[in-house]
Amino acid sequence: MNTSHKAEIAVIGGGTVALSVATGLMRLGRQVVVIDEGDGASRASRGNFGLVWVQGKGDMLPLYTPWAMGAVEIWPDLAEWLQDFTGIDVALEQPGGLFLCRSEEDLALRAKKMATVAQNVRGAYSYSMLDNKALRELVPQIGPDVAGGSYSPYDGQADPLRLFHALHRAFGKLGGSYLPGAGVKAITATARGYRLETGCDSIEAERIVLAAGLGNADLGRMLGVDIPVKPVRGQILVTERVPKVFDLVMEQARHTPDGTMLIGGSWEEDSGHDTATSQEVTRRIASDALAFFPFLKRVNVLRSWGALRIISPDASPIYDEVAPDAFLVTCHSGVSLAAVHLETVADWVDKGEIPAQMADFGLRRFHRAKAAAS
Amino acid sequence: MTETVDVAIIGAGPAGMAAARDLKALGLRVLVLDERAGPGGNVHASALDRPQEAASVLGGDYARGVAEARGFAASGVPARYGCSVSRVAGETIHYLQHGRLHRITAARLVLATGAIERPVPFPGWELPGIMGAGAFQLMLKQSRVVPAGDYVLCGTGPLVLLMACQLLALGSRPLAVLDTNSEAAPLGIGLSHLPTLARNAGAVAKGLSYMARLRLAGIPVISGVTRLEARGSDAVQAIRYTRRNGSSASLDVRMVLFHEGVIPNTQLGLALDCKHRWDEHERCLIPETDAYGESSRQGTFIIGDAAGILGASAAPHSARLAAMKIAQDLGCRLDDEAGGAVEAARRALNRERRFRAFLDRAYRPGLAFAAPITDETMICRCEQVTAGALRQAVRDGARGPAQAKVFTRCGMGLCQGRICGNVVTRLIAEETGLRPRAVGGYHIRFPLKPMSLIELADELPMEEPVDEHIA
Repeated sequence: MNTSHKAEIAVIGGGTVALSVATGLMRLGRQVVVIDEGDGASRASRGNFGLVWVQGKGDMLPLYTPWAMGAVEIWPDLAEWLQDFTGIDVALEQPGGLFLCRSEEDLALRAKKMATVAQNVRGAYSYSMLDNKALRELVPQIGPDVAGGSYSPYDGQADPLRLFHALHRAFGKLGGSYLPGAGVKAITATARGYRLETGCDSIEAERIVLAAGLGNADLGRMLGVDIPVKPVRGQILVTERVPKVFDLVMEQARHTPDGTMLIGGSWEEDSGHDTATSQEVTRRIASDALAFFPFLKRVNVLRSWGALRIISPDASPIYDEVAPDAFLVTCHSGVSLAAVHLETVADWVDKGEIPAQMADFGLRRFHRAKAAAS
Repeated sequence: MTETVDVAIIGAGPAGMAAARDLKALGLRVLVLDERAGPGGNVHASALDRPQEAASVLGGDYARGVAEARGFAASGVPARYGCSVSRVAGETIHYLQHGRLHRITAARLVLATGAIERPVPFPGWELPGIMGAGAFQLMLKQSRVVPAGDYVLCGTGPLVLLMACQLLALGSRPLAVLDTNSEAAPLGIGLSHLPTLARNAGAVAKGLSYMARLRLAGIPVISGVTRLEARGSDAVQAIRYTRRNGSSASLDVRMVLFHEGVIPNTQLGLALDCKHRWDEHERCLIPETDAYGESSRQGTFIIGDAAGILGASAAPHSARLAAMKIAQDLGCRLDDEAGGAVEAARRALNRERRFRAFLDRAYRPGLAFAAPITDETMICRCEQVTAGALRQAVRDGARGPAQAKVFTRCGMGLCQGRICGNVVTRLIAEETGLRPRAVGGYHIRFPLKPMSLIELADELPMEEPVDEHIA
């Protein structure tokens, strides 16, 4: 049974990035279809930690720093709009954030990374490096054996699951068409755009947006374009409900609005597409958590999960018109960047002209890097 | 160095005990792990807690089960109790005992994790004072606890009647038994299964004797109950029931014990990504296994009620089939009698299947299968998610349990969807028009049961080693 659909714009992907762009396009009055995989899709949006984060971003691509700063600056507008329009409170808080370093070596590496970022943006960037004493003045619950950490006032958190739900609801409420199922199996260029085949549906669209996370690599191959995204696994623990004790948000622990605590994480580059967790890594995360927050030792872990980050060679987003009327939107930080994806990126897809602050996020930068290396 | 056995068996109920004895007799190194303090599983729980003679007050079946469990404990088959499996990775089993993580490796894994009571959401079922009759029966076996204040038993199936009789024997009287069987004429079903019934005359006679005892004691059995609604503010205060003829009434109660049969406990198999199928007849997920009980995960066998409900008397037969296959796989030399034993087990299992088919037809869960689920009914008790919220999630685009879970938190709580999983699959199927098979189930995560950060970090100070055998 093959059903035909027509839309002005087809967004491929069903995660936070895809729904942000699709919802933004609906708000601009476009007619949009979102083509998603089924319930078993490997989906970073369902495993997300929920940081709305700036610190550390841009050490390998300087323009990423101001982009991320702009994104978190307009995040409150997104949260307010979602609350009004969908009734869902995405629980945005932006009290500033900490990155904790258990060892002196980690702290030295962190200091170097933050200095690189600050140097890249030439002064318009506020952060501080903290030793154990300074850290514990900010958060007294942090353990005595933690070497230190970095602080930035730009950072915060939102509930990624509520955000994901709210975006889906907003998209539907705006009249968007959602086609979950098998994902896109084939892309053909036509006289008026593209035809996408899913195996059960055939969709004609004037423009397409590739926003399928790691699936973008396959979609790129269908268009003859190399899209260099790789999975990097992160494992996360979630605890039973505990009273909220931290005013700040930490990259290693986040108190959710539902009362549970998320504890991360890991950076595993050799996991392939396997989202499994492992005894070794969850044990290590638990051990770090005990050092960071000794008071949590008797708190129960309810579950662990693994999710795959979508990482480009410089760990920064890629925005590019990879073929005529085919727009690539891919990044690791779908939550942090949600507001700019809904605004600036949707506007780019709508008008077809890339704004200046996005122009250097294209695939060309990797070709240049390759040419320079050889 | 990690301790190694040939076969690890999870669960020391009737299936696990039988498999362990068979495998040990075949010369294999086995180890049984169980969460409870002793053998027996749910059905023969607390077998070692009292002298054998004390078991008979709960009936002949329980007394025989207790004898079997005591025999197992005395047999020297290696078993560890108070052990909660937290993770299985490849051939390594991580488990928590006395707050400490241990691990063993096993060439073969046998899941004998038994059954759980079929969750039946009805309005108010989350109120304190309402619990599974089976869950209450466990307390009765452990501590001879009886309900305080007025109470009713509700549901269908032999366990409801048996429990009513057990409670009577302990001097406790339910106000009534509310029978939710949607099969209006169980006797008619009996007629069409006469040969099966004749072969299971003992079991049939037991069922009839329960009814007779209730009648003698003057306990009203109210049949044809099609709807239940519990009311109360902090705890249940009244249970309102509606009958097939449209009449309804309310009873003031402090406790409601509810039971509409049991379904396989699939949590560990799901966590191991063993293939499961949706059973249209029982409306729950059931693992796919071959004739010997091997699942889609090579080397992992699922036996007893965990593989599909057949009851305690069938468990040793499915255990034997798995044991024979495992022994053969691991290179044991089987004698000539082995082939005969396999055939005998298969025949016995088929006999049990026919009797179960009769039971399943004669006792139809009237609420779980036939009553519509109202929007205000709680589906996920852990996270307080109603059927209405779940239906809204489907309208927001969810087409399966994974997406519905992130939209609503349904199944994210302490029990990891053990209670709500099958109901969620059914509701999503109803709302989307998809088949339950296509909707699928939850992805279960490790650790399987909650454990503290310090236990997971494995940084507790060392303790004395624990005893291997519990006599």
